[in-house]
Amino acid sequence: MNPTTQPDRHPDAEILNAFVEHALRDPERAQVVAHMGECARCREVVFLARAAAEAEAPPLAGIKPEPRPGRIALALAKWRVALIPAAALAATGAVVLWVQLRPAPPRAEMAQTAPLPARPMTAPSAAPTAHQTSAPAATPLPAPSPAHRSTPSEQRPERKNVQPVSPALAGTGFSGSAPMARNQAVPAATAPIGSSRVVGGYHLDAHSAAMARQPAPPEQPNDSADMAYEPALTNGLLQPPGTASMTPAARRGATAGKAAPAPVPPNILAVQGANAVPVSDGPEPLTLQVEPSSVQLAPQPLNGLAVMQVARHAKLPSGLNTVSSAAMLNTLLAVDSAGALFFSQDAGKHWEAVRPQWRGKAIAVQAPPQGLYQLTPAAAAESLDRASIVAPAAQEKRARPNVNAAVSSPPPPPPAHVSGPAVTATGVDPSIPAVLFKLITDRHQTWISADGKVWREQ
Amino acid sequence: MPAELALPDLAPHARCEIAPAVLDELWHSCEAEACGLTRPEFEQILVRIGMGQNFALATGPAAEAAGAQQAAFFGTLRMADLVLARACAAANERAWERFIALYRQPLLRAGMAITGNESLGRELADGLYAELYGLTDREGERRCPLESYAGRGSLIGWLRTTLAQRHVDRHRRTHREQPLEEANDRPAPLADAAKEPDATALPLLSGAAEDALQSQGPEEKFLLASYYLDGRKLHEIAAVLGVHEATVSRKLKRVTAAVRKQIVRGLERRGLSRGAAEDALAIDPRDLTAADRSSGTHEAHDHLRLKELLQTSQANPFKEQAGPIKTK
Repeated sequence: MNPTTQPDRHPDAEILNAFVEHALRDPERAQVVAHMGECARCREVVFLARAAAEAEAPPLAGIKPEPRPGRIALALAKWRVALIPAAALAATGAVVLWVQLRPAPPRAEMAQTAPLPARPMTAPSAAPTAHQTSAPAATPLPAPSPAHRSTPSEQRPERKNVQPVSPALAGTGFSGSAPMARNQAVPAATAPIGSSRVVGGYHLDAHSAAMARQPAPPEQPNDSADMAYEPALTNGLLQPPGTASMTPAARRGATAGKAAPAPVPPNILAVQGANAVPVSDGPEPLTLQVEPSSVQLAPQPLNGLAVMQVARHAKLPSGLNTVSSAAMLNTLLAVDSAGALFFSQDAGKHWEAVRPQWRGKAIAVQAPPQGLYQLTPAAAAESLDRASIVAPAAQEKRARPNVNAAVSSPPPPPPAHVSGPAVTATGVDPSIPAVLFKLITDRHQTWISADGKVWREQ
Repeated sequence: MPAELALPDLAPHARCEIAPAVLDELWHSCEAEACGLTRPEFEQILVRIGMGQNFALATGPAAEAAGAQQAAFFGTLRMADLVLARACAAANERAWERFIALYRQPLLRAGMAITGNESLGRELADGLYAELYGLTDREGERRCPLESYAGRGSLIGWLRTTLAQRHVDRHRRTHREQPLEEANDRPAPLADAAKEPDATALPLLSGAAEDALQSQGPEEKFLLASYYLDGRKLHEIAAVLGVHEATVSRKLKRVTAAVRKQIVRGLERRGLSRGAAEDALAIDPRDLTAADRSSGTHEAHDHLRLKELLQTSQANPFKEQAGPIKTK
């Protein structure tokens, strides 16, 4: 099988070497390939010779290869076009993430700047009730202009045109600057306590609607209303409004450790009677000069999220769920799913069933708005006198641009759907019984009660 | 002048003369003087080379080749290696010294690279070196393999190829000399009835595969044989063919698909359904080879043997295939 002895069988080394070195012409090359397609021996010779030649190839030590660009440079050059939109996309994503992950501003700031929907004071007369018709109509206040804003420059001319305070507003907590206050954004931090409650009403079973109108709780330390109301929320009892005379520092210390301020300032009359005005002007911390007041405090409504939660999650003696509830001071009324009414005088700690004096099942219970609270005639007159005295001094203070003007702005007007005995400057008409609670039955009958225990059909 | 160069048969070719300009140029470029050759000896070597290939002229006698034709012919050859080889074949001492200085160590390394073993490689290289030196006689004449070198490739490449031929021939001559114990120790093929090829489909598959493979071109056959039978890698095949590795891969894929399609068509022409033809392609040729080995005879002609199909024993001699190509 020696190729030298059988030269006709296989191509010689000269041809195979020329084939390996690609030195053959195309016809010769095709013939060699055709032979190797069927000859394993020549294929092996060729592959071995090629392998030996590759092993013999000297390393290219003397040839210095050109510096090749690095992988990063090659990748950048290759994906340069795609890097531009990718970088833009990454930057956009970073901005979006930063916006999303940025801590939200305190709710108090939003509450201070959010304008409160103004309510015309003519509403009570537009929808008179039996009680309103018997009482002198309250002086209708001019409807607020939507163009009015709570900027200091706009507040100045408004204060010059302050109208005399209607006696009807005294009992509702409106001071002499009430017209201006209606046009201002509601500063929840220092708005007269309870003003927002007037707007919101006390219908606890209409929680969402009432709370939506209430501004966020303030966080300023000069909110005396919070200080007075927080103990009532935490303890379930309404504290006397003596804390209104506390200094901010004292109040700050009194509320130390309470992370969540009370959302509802209940005792508006205490502040309104004292007629607190901001003493400081400019950027100084707001301090309230609270004058001692001899106004007899009227019962204030217990409201807010804590009370709503208490009423909603009250453990009724029937063991059923609460479908409707109302609160007034410490008095809570709750209707369970069976239509029974329960009464509590200690803010939901103890409940007692109210004997049904109506036909059918109770389906809802409502508390009256704040306007129905009344002052004694003497207290109301004294309050008005103090308001008329302090108001000019306060107006002089407020005439100057003051960044804290909004803090001392009076509350918005009371709600339009005032029902119950009309409140006048002289007090409550004694001929009209005080109606505090309403009860609606499944027969669409409305029953009213002053104390929540004795009911009569309306 | 060495006796080998003054052979009587050179007398008729002596009338062919090399152009003086060509002779002078080649004399300097081939460093003939370093090989211990005289100018008449160098001219005689050139005349024999040119007359042996007729100066690459299609027609006409070599003696009528002009100087330009001679220069073009010599320009296609590795004249320096060729002159050295011929000088060594003529037993020129200085030529052998130059040859040893230039190719002794490369020849040794090539032997080791081909055999993959230092001792075997050294043995192989020494054997060739002795043969090149003309220690073998045939019919009373000293024969030197270097005389077969025609200068179409490099001398070292020729030496490597010659070494590879020696190595392959010796391996093919000796690999069958195995003890019987080793042959009997081969594990028997696993008797798996589920994989037993269908006896009726095997002859049909054999015929269809033979037809499909025979219909392929020379290069396709070389690709199939190198890749599937020899187990060569793509880069090795690409290096031999002088093409890119991806080209080989692409051609192989195309050829494989074509062969498969032709085999399926051949089976369908032989009466098998499409599904049966597809099933017949699932037969593993390695199982068939093992079954053939287990029989220990060459009677299992019905079994499909792709290797035999690709390597037909009745291959035409390369002389008939090559046609005008001169082989030795």
